[in-house]
Amino acid sequence: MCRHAECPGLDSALQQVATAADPAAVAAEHGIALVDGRVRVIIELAPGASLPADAPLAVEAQYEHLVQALVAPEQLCPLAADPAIARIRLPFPRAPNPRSPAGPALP
Amino acid sequence: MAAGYRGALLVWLLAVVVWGSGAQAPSGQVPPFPTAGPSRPAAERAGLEQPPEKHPKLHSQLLALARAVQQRGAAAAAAEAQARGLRVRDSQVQVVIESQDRQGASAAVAAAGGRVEAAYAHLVQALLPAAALEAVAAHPAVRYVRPPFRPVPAAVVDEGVAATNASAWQAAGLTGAGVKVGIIDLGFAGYSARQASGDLPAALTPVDFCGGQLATATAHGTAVAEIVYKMAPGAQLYLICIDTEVNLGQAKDYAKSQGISIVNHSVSWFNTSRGDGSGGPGTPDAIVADARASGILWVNAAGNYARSHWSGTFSDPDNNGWHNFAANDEGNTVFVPSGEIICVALKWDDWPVSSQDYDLYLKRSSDGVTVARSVNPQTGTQPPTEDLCYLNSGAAQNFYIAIYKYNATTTPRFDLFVDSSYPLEYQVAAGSITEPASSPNAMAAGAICWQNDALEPYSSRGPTIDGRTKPDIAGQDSVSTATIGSFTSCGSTGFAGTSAAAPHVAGAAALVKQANPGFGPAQLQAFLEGRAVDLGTPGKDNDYGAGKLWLGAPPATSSLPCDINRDGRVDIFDFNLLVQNFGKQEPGNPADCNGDGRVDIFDFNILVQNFGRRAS
Repeated sequence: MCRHAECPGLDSALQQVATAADPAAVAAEHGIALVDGRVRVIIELAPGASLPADAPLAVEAQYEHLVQALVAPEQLCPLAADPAIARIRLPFPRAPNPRSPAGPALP
Repeated sequence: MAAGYRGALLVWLLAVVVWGSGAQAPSGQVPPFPTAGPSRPAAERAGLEQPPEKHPKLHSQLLALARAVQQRGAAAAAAEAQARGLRVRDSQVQVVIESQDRQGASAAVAAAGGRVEAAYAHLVQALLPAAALEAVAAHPAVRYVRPPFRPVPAAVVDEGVAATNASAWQAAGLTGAGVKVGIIDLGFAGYSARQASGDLPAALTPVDFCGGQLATATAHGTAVAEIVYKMAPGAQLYLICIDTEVNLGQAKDYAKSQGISIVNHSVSWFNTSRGDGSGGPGTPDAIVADARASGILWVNAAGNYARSHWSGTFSDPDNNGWHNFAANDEGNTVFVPSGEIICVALKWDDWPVSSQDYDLYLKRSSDGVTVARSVNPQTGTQPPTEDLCYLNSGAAQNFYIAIYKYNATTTPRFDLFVDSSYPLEYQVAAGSITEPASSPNAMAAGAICWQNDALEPYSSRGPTIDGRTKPDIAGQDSVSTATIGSFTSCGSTGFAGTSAAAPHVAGAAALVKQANPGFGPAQLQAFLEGRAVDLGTPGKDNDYGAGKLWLGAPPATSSLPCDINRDGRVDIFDFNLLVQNFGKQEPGNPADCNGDGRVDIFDFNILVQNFGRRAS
């Protein structure tokens, strides 16, 4: 596998999911939860651009130039090629800050 | 506000007040501004201060409700009752009538247009129209009319309330009343049960920006909210659920729209910025900066990464492209239990976009096989970050993290964070503060154990990458909560972590805000840091910040309803604060001098009547 696959504008982990023979298995291995078979991603719009009207995705929320959306794995590469889209990535990593003998998991 | 403008506004308002109070000012003249000396006894002689009205058979809150309805009409009854904490059903107020003649009392209720709900012993529980309260109280069969007692479930005691001296503030009547606190978190599972157990208030506002997962995603936010409530039981809580940074931005906008003045965020974010507060649009840095600029104190957990962080520059003595964490070690090992997900975030100091291309790998220690990797290109337009997660579906075992130089000519500083329940082999506590706690616009809370003030070994440390001291303060953790459990030892039981420390700080800020309604975020932070008990290296340091969260003595209490800043006197400084609060409709607002649930011209009138009066 080449290091940087054929989908510029798509983050590394998403490329691995998008190009996998079994996207669900790869997503699970990377701790990426699928929602009805789709990946929750953050789309960074290019400056001044709007989301293409016919983009194959389900918008969940928007803030400034960021769009939170669900996208099918096979749609990630073509979507990233749209000039209106600067980058598609997973949401920023974040974690709560509890400590317990059982680790960070909470009920 | 410019001093000249403020003075002109005060003169104008005073003229309005004198008109409103019925005093006559000569036409075209501005009455002299009262001074604290001679005018005070004159005002007393004139009988301007009215003793409170009392009724021998009617509880004071019910009497006040009856008077309000007489003055403003029956339509105001529901709002009045709610503002006074009275229960209303079907537009009637719920009361308990004490009577030795239950039949007679029930007849009085019926005659007043009310309805008996239940009876027991000498008590009759009834619903009454507010306008009929006095008539029922006057009935010969009625001995006393009062609101029902309020049962309070046995809630869990948060040891941090006493450890911060918030208990003394609460005893002095400062509970955070009138202050809105937003808890922005990843989920509030079980919050309804915590309301039922008395560990969260009966009235709160859940806000779902997390796709309908507010009550199911995690109980983390519930435990955090518990602590805010124990610290500031009178504060108005907003439980705001988020999932991504897009939701975080939405939550911030919501907080601004609702007039929330304090936010608690016990969450760390990674690879979002350099770590100096300069993150671009849509990043937690920018979101926190806008909140601060909008008057919100943003309290953020510093993070629990002192033993899960490594920092250094690229070193490759054998020139094979792989970074050496030690002379003969190209991996930073971490243990991963079976079934656990490990997440790793790497960033290097070449923001906002980089042409120095490094990659991140996770390999299995037993055979060196790569199990996950992050290989984004950095060609001059991408951020200097790589991150990965991996689910260990095999046996519990060691893995190691490796950094590969794909195409780079410089060796910037790296910061590596690992989200795991086990520490890194090579760890650097310094600089382990996470985003957005590292921002100058956030008040970062490190963690000390409430029992012995010892710094928790996991509590993230400063300095920031631009050399600022962080955290800002050390809050108490390892406290008992209903959601997580009871304390038995520091750092491992109860609610441990900077997630628990931060809401102690946020709750303390709510108490200070109630006592000083004019305080903005900088003043609140300065007050808390000023009262903190210095620990560790003298002065503010990168372990404890300003020191242990300690509220000190509460401000002097006052019997004067218009002593808005609670300094024991009604003077020009209260006047300033009243003007600042003018028009705000917030239950518990100290500028609401007559307690009718709003700050308006009638409060202003009362303030002038009380002007210069000292508490005895």
